[in-house]
Amino acid sequence: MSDKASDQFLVDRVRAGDKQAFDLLVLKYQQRIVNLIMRYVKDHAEALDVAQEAFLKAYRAIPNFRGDSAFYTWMYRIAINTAKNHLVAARRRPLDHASDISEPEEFDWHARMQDHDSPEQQAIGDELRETVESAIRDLPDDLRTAIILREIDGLSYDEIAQVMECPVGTVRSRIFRAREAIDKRIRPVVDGE
Amino acid sequence: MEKDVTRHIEEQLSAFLDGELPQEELALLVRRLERDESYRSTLDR
Repeated sequence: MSDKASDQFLVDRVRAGDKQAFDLLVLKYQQRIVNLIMRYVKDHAEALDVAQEAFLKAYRAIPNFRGDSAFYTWMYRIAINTAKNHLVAARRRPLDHASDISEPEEFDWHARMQDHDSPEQQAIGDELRETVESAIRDLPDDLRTAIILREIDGLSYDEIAQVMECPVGTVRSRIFRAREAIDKRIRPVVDGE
Repeated sequence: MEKDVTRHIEEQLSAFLDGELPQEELALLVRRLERDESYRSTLDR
């Protein structure tokens, strides 16, 4: 099921009154939306608040969502407008007013170009990368193969099932267990323990 | 038993985030989230 089809399915469910369908859309896009908002609002907690406000606006406006564009594109514009309004309300200038990021594709490129980490952030990033690599190395063979085929080689679950000669359900389980194991290893780094 | 259910939901959510959950399963997941508190609590984690 394509991203757009699954988003549209969830949007239709929200319109039919299933609030939990919107929670799935939030789960899917919250990190990307928070990252986007952090281009305008540097404080993470503040960005979370703005993201929550943006999702609330989207939820209220979803009956008007015509589906001409993808849900994420629509959500993206709501998030930008909410962030800008937040800055106006706070009488602050945007962090980045050299260029206006109006399209999702532009943002992804822009975000990569703008990531100038401090030495401390750089060190954490290096530690995180090493921890992930080490965690992947330590996985049992079947989990390591599944997660590499997914995350590095970008294969679909069906393709991984063919390569590994196992049912798709097994692929799903292996990918989840691999992520769970990696998450357990990186958690202390992320939490700064 | 409860652990198995939680694991199943977590696997479904992981597949959903990968865009790999078939529509019929997604429909089932939404329905269960609406009806079952334990499903919702997994989503909140």
